[in-house]
Amino acid sequence: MRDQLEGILRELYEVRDRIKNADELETFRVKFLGRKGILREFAQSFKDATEEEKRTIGNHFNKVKQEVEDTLADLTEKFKKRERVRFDFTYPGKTPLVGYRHLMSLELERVKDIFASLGFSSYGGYEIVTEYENFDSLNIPKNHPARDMWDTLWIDQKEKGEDQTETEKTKYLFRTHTSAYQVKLLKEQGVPLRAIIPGKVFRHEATDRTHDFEFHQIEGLVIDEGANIAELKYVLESFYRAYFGKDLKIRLRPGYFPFVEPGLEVDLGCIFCKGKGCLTCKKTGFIEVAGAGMVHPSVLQESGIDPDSHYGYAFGLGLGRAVMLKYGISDIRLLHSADFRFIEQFR
Amino acid sequence: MIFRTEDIKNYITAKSINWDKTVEQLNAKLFETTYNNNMLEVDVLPNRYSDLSSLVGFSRELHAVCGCGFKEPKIKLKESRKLLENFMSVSVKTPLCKQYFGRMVFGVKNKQSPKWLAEFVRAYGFNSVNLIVDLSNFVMIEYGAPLHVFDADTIPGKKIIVREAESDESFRSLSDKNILVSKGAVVIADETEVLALAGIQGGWKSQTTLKTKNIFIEAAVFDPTSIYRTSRAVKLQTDSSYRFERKVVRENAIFALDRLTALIQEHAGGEIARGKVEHGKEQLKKLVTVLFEKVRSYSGINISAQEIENLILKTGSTIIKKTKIALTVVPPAFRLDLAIPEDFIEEVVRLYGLSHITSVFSSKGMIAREDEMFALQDIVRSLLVQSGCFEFVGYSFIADTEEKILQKTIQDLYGKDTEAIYALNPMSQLHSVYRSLLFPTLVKNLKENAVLAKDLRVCEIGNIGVYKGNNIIEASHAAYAISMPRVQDALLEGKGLARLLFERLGISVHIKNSDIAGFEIAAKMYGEENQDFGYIGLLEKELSSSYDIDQRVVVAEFDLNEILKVFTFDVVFQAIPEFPAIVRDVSYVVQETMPVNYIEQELRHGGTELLERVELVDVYQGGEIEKDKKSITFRLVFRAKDRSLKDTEINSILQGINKELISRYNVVLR
Ligand SMILES: [Zn+2]
Repeated sequence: MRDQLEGILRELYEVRDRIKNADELETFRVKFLGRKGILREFAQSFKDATEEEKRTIGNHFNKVKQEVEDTLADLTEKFKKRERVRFDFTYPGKTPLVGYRHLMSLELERVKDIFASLGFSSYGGYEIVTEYENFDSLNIPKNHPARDMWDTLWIDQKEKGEDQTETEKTKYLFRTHTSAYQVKLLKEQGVPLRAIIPGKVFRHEATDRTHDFEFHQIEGLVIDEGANIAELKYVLESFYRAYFGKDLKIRLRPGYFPFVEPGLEVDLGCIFCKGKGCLTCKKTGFIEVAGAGMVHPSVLQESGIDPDSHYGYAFGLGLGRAVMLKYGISDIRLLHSADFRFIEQFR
Repeated sequence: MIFRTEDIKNYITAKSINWDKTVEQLNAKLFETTYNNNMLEVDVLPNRYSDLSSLVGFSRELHAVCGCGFKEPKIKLKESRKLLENFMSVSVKTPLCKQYFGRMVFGVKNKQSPKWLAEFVRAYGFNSVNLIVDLSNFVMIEYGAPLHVFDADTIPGKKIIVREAESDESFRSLSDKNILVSKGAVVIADETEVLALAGIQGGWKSQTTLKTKNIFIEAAVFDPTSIYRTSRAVKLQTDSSYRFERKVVRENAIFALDRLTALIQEHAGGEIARGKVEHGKEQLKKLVTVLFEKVRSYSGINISAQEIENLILKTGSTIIKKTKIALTVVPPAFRLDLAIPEDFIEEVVRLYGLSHITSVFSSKGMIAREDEMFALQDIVRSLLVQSGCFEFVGYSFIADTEEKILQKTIQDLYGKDTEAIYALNPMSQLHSVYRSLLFPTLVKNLKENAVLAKDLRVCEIGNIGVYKGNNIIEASHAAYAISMPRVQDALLEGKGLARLLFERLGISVHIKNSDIAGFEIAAKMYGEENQDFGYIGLLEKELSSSYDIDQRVVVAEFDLNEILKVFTFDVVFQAIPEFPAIVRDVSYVVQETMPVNYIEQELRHGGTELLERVELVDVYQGGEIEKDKKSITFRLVFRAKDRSLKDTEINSILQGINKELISRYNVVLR
């Protein structure tokens, strides 16, 4: 009988380690402690034993029974603990409070980053500038038809006193191009200079799907050794390739802007049709994206830089146009949208 | 400028031209050109208008670009024995008339134009008037020089005076309008009155009609600036004024005069007077030195000296000297735009072909820096967006009606001498005033989104501008607006965000309650030296309602220019503390109206250098707290750099603080 008890104990140890869940534990309980369980059956079997046997075996039996009960209690505790947290992962969950950057500020940062990788520093400048900064300093004199190339939004100026005549007064305007900062920046930073001037510009122009009276421009200005048309082409090509993530081509055409000589028009190989011609590029395979050229000697002179020993290039590109092309936005006025449903689409 | 291709054929020698191919070349080497229905449209820009906006000039350029041969019209002129000077004299009394030429024809028979001529002038945008007028337009298109024909019999005294207008002169124009000529404008006059507004439009009195017999033909060069100013002053822009503004070439005027005279004789008969009126000297031609190396370094094209020379010759220029390093060049008379070496570089580069330039990066490398203001804006923007704000990039202009509402607000914020900046020529009333504050646009935009959410936060970083006295001030601002169903929540969030912002920037500020028009309650934020950093406040209900928003709106706005002055980009790292802290919560019952920062300041002051942090953790009212009182709880963190603190040390510090608080503010300890 002693051997029998040892056998029960062995079985207990064997079975105990194989129990994996509450159901198996119940089978275990029934097997050992049930009404027809192993222990009950053993107790029945030594009912007829001698007093001597009953004393020694009984003692032993109680220890085994205790061991079984302890094991059961331990395992019950264990499986109670392992009961899992309930959660439906198809619930939407609680949205944390997050903000979104506006499309234009995101794209502006991208542009700054791309140009930084080409060694360009970025500068801000003012939106309100003098007539001199916007025109005269850039070789666009008063009463010259070249001024008609920019429809200017003027400031309604406060009178400065009776004695001043019309011509003496400094006239202010909302900059028509970021080029208005060229001379001032060259004076402030000196040469060599490799800079972009991103910012808002303003025109006295009626608005439609492709024109807004207020839009973002990126000015580029480089006065440095080797800063020639070939490098200008490289820089613009690299910029557009990085910005659109496509292998694009730049085409230069003759152009005219009074503050550059030679003046250039910059076309970008159509990002939609790869030059085959589509609706966006009006079947030409190219899209006009920027004006550019070699900085006019008179602009350098105006900036206090000797044009005989320094030269460089400048360009002005419309950010809005690039953004519209990139995302397929067909109305430029949407770029000022304040609708959350517009803003939250971009990242 | 639009040309009929059939007209161009008269000025080139090539028998036929493939226009599609030619247009491609013109686009690459000249200006934007399109070809449609036998019409060529060339986008002639201001610098080349003087030589390209004519059939002769354009054909000459066409030859330079595609080598199609160029031929000038042959002018056959038969003068009679009648000397012009016996019939007309011209005196030029203003330097604004640079050149003046004239011829006379007697006994012409003016009539309606033949079909070819009428069709020609119509194709170039003119009405067919009569033979003489149409021919003068024909020649203007041919040579680019405007001409004017006077009926000589309408000029009494046979004397033409070119002078500047005196004040209050007027004349009856060709279009039968009475025009008040501005003082200083150049006029063509007889001895009694103004006959024509020089370079802009002829007069009613001296116009040619079908009855005209004797004519005086004028060709001239007027000062471009003067014409530009006058034509805008009298609000009269004509094909002629457009050309004079963009300069007329002296030689073209001379050729055009003879060409028109000959054509009139050919088609209307008559005798040409001997001699011509001629005023103004020929301008000396400037020599330009073109360095070969400069052409190469500017363009990045490795081009030979010979090639450079060939291309410069294509422009019609004369090379008067050639050395190993440079050419000395005289530009052709018709190219007024060629004056400096860079102009010739442009000619070489475009005629060589911009498409042959390969992109090369020759920079030795420069370190990109970011403007400090951009960097600060980025920090502020990130923080606001991370805090749940939707960023806007709004228009810089608001409606004048909005500005009127804000007038007092900007004076309260920026000073009594502040005024908004108005656009002189706004596109619409909706966008007529430059923003003096960012918040109005934000609030307007909140409204757009109010249907989408109840808990709204928006921000913007942008420039604002005002007149301060007579000075224009432009500054970069950052602003946010918060709107929540409960006003207290919006205020707490708004203030918390402002505190976080300054904490992150490492700038200490003090808050001062202020009365600001448009705000129910507001406070201004000042720096250590009383710099005005901005404001925070709750918009008056009437104001937010005027933007159609039912919920209350808290706005805050920061002057980044002022903040940049004290902001340092460098971060000074501080080691993580080694010794443990002692944390104590202290609660006081104070008057409801008492600002919590009174207590806070006292805690900081009494806490000695051992007090590391003070944090308001709870404000409680109601329950066992008396009415009109509140219970405030601060968490104090004490720590020493060099040792573990003892409870007894902190106890005695707190005892000191409490004693002070009780005696100064009559607080009750809890
Ligand atoms: Zn395309």
